[in-house]
Amino acid sequence: MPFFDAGFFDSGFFEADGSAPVASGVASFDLEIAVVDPLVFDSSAGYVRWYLTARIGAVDVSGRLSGAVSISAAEDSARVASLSVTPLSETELASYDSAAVTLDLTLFRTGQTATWRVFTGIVETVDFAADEQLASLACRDGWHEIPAACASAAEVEALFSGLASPAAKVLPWNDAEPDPAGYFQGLLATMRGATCVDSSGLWRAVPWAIGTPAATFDASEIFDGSLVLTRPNRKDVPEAITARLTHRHYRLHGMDIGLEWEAVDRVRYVVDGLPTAPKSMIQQALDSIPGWLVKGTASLVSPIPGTYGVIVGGATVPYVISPQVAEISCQEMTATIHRRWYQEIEISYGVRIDMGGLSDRDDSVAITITSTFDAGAWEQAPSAAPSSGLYADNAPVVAVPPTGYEGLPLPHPPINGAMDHGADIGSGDLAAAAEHTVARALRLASAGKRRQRLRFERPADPRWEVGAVLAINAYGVTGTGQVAELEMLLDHDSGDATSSLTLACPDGTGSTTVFTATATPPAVTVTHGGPAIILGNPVGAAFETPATPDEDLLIGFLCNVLPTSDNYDLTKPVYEPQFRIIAPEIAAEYRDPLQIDVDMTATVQIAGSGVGVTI
Amino acid sequence: MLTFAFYADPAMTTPLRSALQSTQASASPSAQDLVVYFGSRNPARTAVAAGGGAITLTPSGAGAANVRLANTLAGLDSATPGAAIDLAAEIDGGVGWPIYVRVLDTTGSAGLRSVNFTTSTINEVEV
Repeated sequence: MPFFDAGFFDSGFFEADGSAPVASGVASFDLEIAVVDPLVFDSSAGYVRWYLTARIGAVDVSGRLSGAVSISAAEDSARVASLSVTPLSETELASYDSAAVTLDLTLFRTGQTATWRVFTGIVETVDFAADEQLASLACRDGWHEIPAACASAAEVEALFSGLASPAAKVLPWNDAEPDPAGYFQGLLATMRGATCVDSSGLWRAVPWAIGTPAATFDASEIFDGSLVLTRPNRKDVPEAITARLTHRHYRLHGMDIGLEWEAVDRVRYVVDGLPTAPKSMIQQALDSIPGWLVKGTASLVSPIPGTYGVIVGGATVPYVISPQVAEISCQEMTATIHRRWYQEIEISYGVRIDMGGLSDRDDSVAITITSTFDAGAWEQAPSAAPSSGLYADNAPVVAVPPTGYEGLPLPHPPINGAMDHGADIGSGDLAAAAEHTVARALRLASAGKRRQRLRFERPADPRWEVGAVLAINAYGVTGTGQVAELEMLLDHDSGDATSSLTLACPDGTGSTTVFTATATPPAVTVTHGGPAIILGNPVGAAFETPATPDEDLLIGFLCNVLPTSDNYDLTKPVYEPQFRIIAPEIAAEYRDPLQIDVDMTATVQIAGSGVGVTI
Repeated sequence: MLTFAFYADPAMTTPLRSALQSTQASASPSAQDLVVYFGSRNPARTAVAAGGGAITLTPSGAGAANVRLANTLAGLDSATPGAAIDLAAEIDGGVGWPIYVRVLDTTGSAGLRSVNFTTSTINEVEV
């Protein structure tokens, strides 16, 4: 007999991770399929009887309905219903508040029966007319509550079934202060379709697609005089809609410049008494160029110690360089200095959607995204951290962060070039923002064109939901469109049962509403740099010293001849001894904020085939 | 108490309390696609099949042969009418699991047919 029964652990009582279930059972739902003969909707001569089954909470109030019951629905709005019922008691009246409501319409025709769910929602308001003992109920579905109850961006986005264009940098979701309703509205503005809750209470995302109609109605199937064509208002169809996505970020520049210097000929040390250039002076000068950093280590070459013969006036004079002097003096120097700086840049990606309207007003969609980047800190090199002075002895060994050029933070721009740095806005974010921008423009354009509508009435016809594709061919008007609005009126007093359907019939270019959008950043073609700067040895108080020196040319080792020199001129400028380096200035075109307009690559297609009218 | 249930929307705000309705024409009917969501509002719960393997969803009733089930809209085209489907071995709470239902009654016989959709026994565990 085994020590333990392995089957117990395979029995499902414990899960794979060993956790015990907190609940167990099955979940289920029901579906009722009503198979009906379409003849029940035939509007030809004959008659149709109807019966409305209304349930408020658990109570069937069908037999106590009176007056007209209306149900209406439209794109991107709640389905509403109104009905009047006689309550049996005060308790029942009170139970109407916020009660669940379902309305089922049953149509009878000779030999045919069809039952249809026409409304699922809750009671919004109750008005009780005491004299008639009649409660008038206004009911609404959950179109507003469903987005508002979402707890994450993913939940809201799921409501659109991929028909919206999220872009986190344009329309961010804030976990700290979630605003699902606002996020929903932001995404809705990019949707290539419409949302609704259907008659069964199911949330639907309906694409704006107009293909083959599910039914075509001729004059015999609609009420006389009910067909109305509404053309879009002038404001709904402008000449064009322009969309512009502006990306604010930084262009990061980097420039290297070579520096070269060589000491004067030895003869001048003897003849003019010129000093040698100390290495410390040169290094200090290199370290003190405003905005520039020495890249790597400067090469400071000492003169070779020894005694050299210098010819002065035909005689050879010894010139002695001691090892001590050689060590602190510089004979020649080569170095590379580096500078980085940022430039604010706005790249504006634009696209224009021609609407074909006569209004000279252009509607526009303008979206701006801004990179978050501490450009000031990026530009600065870290300096050596001051000693903390905490330890008298045995200070702990810590890694010393690099300073100067080696400590410059990422990213490093290309040598003598530039790069556009989006920082927190990557290529994926830019692509999403471009799609979001064009989607908003497309929505605007499509919604405008969808204002061309055909409205008609016919006997109660609950088959069609928002988004259904239907066609009209009556009274010289032909058109195919999507149900954008519907209303059903069931009058218990007159017996009338009518449906009013409004079709959106845009002048489109295809059967689907789709777009493509690509924002391609322009290439950065900046080139910096140039030949190395040759530093000289301007000598002051000499006959060759200019009376008015060009100060921009006073670079290198500035020194003076001694008064005892034959070359001495007491009238000429005497320089402050120093090693002077002037680095090039940054041109304004690479420093001032830059604005670039480029075209976005985009295509749009609006579903629809328009309306034909024969006068 | 089991928190996993079926909902009318992906955010799982509207539980399916009453039967869904679908109407089909008796002649030349066209398919009607519905989508419902299975899940729990409690993100700290996970559903697993009690007997191991995948959680299944099985249609039953007079109209079962007239429905197809799939985990994707595209999957409806190749789904077998009346067949059960595997949802997943584990389904985490907090996110609605979409289930696509295609209704197509080609019997040509008028009438009302009910279909019940039931999952296999599931265990809920705390994450």
